[in-house]
Amino acid sequence: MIEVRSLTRRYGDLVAVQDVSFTVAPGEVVGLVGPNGAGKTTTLRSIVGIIRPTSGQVLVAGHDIQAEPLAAKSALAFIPDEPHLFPHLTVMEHLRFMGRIHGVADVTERAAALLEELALADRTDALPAELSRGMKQKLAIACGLLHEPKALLLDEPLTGLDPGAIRRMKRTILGRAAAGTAVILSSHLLGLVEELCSRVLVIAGGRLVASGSVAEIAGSRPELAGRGLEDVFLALTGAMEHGGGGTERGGAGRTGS
Amino acid sequence: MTRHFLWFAAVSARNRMRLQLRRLRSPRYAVAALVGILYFVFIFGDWAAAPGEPAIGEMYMEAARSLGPLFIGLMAAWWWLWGGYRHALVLSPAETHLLVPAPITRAQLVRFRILQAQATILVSAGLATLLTRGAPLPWPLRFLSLWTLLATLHQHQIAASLVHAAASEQGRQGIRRVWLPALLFAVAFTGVAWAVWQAVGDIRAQGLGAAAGRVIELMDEPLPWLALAPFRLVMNPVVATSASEWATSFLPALLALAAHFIWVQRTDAAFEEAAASAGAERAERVSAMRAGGMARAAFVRRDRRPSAALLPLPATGPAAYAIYWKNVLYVQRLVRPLTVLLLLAGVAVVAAPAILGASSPLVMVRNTGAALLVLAALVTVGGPFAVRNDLRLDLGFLAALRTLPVPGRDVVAAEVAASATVVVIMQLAFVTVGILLLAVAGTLGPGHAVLALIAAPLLLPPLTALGVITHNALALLYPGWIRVGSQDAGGVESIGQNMVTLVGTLILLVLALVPPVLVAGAAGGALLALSRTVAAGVAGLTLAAAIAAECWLLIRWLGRLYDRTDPVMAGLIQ
Repeated sequence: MIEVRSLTRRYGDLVAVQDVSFTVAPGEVVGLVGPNGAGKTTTLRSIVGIIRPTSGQVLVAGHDIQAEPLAAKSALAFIPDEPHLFPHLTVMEHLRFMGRIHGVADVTERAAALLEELALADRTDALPAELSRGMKQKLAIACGLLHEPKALLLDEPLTGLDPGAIRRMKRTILGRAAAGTAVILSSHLLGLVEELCSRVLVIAGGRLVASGSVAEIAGSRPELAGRGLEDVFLALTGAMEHGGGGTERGGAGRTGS
Repeated sequence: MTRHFLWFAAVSARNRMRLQLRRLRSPRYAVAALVGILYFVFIFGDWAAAPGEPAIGEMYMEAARSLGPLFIGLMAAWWWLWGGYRHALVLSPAETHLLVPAPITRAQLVRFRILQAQATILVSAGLATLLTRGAPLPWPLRFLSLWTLLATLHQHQIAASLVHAAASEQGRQGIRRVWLPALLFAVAFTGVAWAVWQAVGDIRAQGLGAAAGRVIELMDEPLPWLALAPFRLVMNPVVATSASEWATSFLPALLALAAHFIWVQRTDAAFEEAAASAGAERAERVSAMRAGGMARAAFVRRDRRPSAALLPLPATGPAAYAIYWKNVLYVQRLVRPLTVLLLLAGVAVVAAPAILGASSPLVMVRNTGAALLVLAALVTVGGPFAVRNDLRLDLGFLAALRTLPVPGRDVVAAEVAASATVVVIMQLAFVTVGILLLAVAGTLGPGHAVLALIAAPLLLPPLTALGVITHNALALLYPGWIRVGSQDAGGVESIGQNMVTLVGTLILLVLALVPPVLVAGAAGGALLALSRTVAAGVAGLTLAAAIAAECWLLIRWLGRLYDRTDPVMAGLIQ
């Protein structure tokens, strides 16, 4: 469903992402983890077409995001860490706006169901300024899910959510995956990644340094056998910080991942 | 404590200055700063007034003497009656969290706010001193007078804030809270309005030229003079013409300032909650402006209820229409009925001498029609610059828009159409009424009026779209120069940036108009021998079609540019 081939993104001399390749199958939830500035956000932004890769190719539902952007974007949803909401549109108007963009004929019914699922049903007429941080995040999630995307990319989706909403969000992510959606979940909450994701991509210094289930990654290194994701993460990314690989010119300092 | 507050104010001012200077390392800010400085040299330079001519300052002084107290009165009314008091006592989130829980009294907090405002007041007084260069009073006395005036007004606004806070504390709401100031202002302004009404006959008899002078004279007549006396007290030293006059008027003004200081220091109202709330709102607005331009900032107020959308949004149809709908709705919700009323009142005031000074009802109709056409022309030139519900608004949301399955050219077309729609509605309203009035007055014959009414909706939309496109092109080509995204400009370079943007877009617009005008000229010229009316009609139609074709080409080009724009490289997202 999502196929990333030799993705590289440079900003002048700075290499944000270098030669990253992976695939995410329908129904799979894949975690994208890495230290700050590793290139996670650049990778996600390249996949969804916000920025153009310097080289490489991204396919979403079989469509090249650069060559066939409309077909690819119709199949995906991106929920960034900071919800981008239009200040003058109410909750329901955001959903109607997104519905029209994606040609969702039964927008009213779907919007009502989503708002119920995300516990926003009583705030349909509220402007973003009237919503808490968590509610804004939920609205951004609802906007992303409205057209039932085949590929769902989430960047720190649980920021600002209360425990109840976190539980609901986890159910939502797993529910979408069970329905066949390919999910990439980028987060620093390693416990969440371990809980939801069947596979993990570890990115550091702009390079993909490990890929597989936590057990597979840990199994590839005798000293990590039986350890959890946190130990695996620290071992892999710590190695990178101490010169174990990475880019020639200092990784992905430019972007906010 | 006052020493600490002074230190805080001085350090804050110094750090702000450092930040402004650091920006100048960027070439575009440096160029803009240079243009801003040149602008100030132009405004304050000695060459502005030729030798022998009356100094520019005297003109301002004359108007200030008569109309200044009225202006101050209106400002005070806004502070007391229409929510202006909210802006006086504002504590930033940092001040709320660090100062309110600290062992500081309310009076000290108010003093802190007064001290903090002095930097702005001193700079404003300095600029006003420069602006009134031609005044007979030496500059140190002018500066002192202006500082006293501005400091008194600032403390008066704080006093209004405190009185509102005290009334709110006592549970008094709405009109009961402000009945006394409301009554006083009503009496004062009724007095002025009555005197103006009485003088309408004189203005009509003396003609247009004398109208402005008569209005200024009016303010010295007993009723307006008495009504505006308290405001004149603080204005007098500023408009004094000799050192002796200044000396006699400055002492009462200084006493008024002292009385205000005592007033605000003695009013022990629990303003902290209101100040913290206003501060949080302001912080949210500033942060919103940095993140998404003016769009977010305008909708931060929590007490605003969104009106129902006038345009429908069916669930299916062209996707780009949703962007057009969103941006038109932005203007609908941004522009409040009160804003429209104030705008119309402003237009009425500007046009009043031409309308009221007319010698007969027919001339009055003609003058009103002409004034509306002038207004339409102003909207045509300035509208595309001022109405910004297009890419200048949405570039702050570029990351979100780029994930939508909408081609770049459709996004640009929808964005341009949204701004153009708003401008064209205003233009057509003014032009239609203006032409009809001119026809009624007999200035335009029925044939010409019909032709003009047909030509306006054909020519104005493409012309306006072209104007909007030039502004959007500049926004896409140089996002850092336009007020979008995270680089919120400030200081002298922001003046320069605005000027460069305005001049740049006007040059682009003129250049863009050259090919359509040549094509239309050629088409009309070829038919001139046949009939002048036919030639004019064909030229007009060709011009409209040529501009529309140019708009279509430009939108396609801008669409590709939109698709290629990298939001990170453009500084629109981090």
